[in-house]
Amino acid sequence: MGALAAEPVLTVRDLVVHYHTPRGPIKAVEHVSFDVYKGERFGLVGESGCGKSTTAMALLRLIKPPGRIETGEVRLEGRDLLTLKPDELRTLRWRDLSLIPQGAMNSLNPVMRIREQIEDVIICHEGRPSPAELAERVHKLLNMVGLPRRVTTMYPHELSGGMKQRVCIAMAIALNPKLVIADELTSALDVVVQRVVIQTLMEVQERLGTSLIVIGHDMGLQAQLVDRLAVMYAGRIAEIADAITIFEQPLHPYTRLLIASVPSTKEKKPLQAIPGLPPTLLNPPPGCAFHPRCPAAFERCAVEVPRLQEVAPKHQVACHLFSERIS
Amino acid sequence: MTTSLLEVRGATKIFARGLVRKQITVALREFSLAIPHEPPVIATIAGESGSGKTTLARLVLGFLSPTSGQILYKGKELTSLSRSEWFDYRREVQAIFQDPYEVYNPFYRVDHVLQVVIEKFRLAQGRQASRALMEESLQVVGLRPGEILGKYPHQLSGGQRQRIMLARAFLLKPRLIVADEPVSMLDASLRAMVLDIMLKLKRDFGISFLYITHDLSTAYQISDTLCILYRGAVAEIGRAGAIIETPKHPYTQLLVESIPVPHPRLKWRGLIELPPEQEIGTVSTSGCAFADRCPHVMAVCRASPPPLFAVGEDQSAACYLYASAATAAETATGARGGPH
Repeated sequence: MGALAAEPVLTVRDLVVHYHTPRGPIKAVEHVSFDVYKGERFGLVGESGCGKSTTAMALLRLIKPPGRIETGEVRLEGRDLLTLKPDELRTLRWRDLSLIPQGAMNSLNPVMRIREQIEDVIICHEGRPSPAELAERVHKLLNMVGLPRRVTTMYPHELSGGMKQRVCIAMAIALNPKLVIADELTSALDVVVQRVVIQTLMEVQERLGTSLIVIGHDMGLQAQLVDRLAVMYAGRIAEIADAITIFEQPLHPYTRLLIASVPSTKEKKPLQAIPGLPPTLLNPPPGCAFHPRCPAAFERCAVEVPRLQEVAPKHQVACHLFSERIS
Repeated sequence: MTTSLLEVRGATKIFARGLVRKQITVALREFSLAIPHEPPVIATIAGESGSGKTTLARLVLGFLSPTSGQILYKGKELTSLSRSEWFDYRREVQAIFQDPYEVYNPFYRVDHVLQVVIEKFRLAQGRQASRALMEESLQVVGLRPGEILGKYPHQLSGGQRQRIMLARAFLLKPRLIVADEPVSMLDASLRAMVLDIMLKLKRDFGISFLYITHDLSTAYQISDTLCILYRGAVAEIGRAGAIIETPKHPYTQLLVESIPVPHPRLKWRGLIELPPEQEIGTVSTSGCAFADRCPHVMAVCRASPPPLFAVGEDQSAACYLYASAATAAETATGARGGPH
């Protein structure tokens, strides 16, 4: 964790991403704003379809048609990523900003040896160093993620899921980027392997001082991994605070239900589901999108969209239960 | 001893590949389990990928036959069932699978999966009766028939689709449902709903479950008995609460400890490493499969596979650490099920 510098590495302001379909725009990301600080591990959580992956893809400008970034500003150390030209963007990816994609283990090229895939990243961005230097760097990277040297000559199918995942981590950090985005890092792995992969990621991140955005739906994993997190619902941020505050004093009813829905292994208690279903983003409910499922909803929730407001230092919530208190 | 509803007796499944240099994989080794006629239970099989849990499901469903050992339903071996007995078996033992997206034909309305069952097993005469039956079964799984019937699969959420599969199974009033990772593709909030329905079907309709999962926390919440598999062999078996609260086998201990606790003040302690050979799965030991990763490994562990030792009331572990404590070995608890 360490002391967090006050200066943000990444600032996202008023990001809006829509997917344009014949039936109208799907509002995947609506007015999302947050900061990620230097050396920080920042979580972005929510159920499937809440817009967390779309947000990440927008940061990397990887939104494909019919999706479109409508408005917003994304600054990485002051540079606005949304106005960069394609070739500027290409040099920036991997070097300043890298991604460990969802299902990363299936994103490796099946007909290239592991060594070649990692070398590729280095050569594309820094030109070709001497073979000895290149080999040395690949070994160092693999060593950092806890993989043995002989993995270099292997093909992806020879590795287990956890090992492939660690190869992806090695590639993501190869050029020492300022920010790494990990999308559903371990969703297909067993608990023990998951723990090893996360432990590796945390070790590497601490050693390099990189900032990290971790996208996921598992509140248990988020608790283990991140310093601060944003909870998303139906394309908007519901709550942002440091991890301890989110888990000890969650304010938004959705955050509370999300935490309560994680099954415990300490005591047997009735399983708690969140009633109802997540809304479709094609036609979200008016007002607060969570109001039809919210146990604390009142009249105002059905008409007015709650703004994300600071209710305590570094604790922001978008809920009318708390907006009254301020205004 | 009365016969069990379902009994797996020393089942071993070996897969061989390659013609010249045969590579042999023991997917399941000497596995035994019994599910009683009464009371209904949720028996959970937990383990990581490659532990043999899906092989077990496929054996029980009759998709595979064991290399050695037996699978008995109401005391009769699956392979020797007559045509009509097999028909009954297929009615009384139902299955639901991991991916609620793949089991539907996208060209048919979801009514189709229910309709087929009603026709095949002649559950109702006429349209109205079958419609009533569909509605009843959807209500049991907490769905409003009006919102479901007539829809196409893509119009429904994963949780709804998985519940329709439960409704489909329920139509047949089965004795046993084999649920292979039924919630692993669902979000946490929907997961609880599906598991709740399993509990309800057990409690109100006397349906037993063979619940196959890699998620120990949901196993803890809903199961009666729990069996931890590691590389095809049982590591620990017994009452679910006992195993999760006081795990005895070093592998179970590692598993329980690795479940991420949803609290930032309760973090994982200590770093763990996986030996690469084990990860790639290239080793084959003649002894305990966990020996290479075990912090307490002894010489005997590499010599021969450990039998089950009683480690508590209704709890046994296949680990030599408990050899001296329980010389009576596996006979003491009967947790393993089946005649000894």
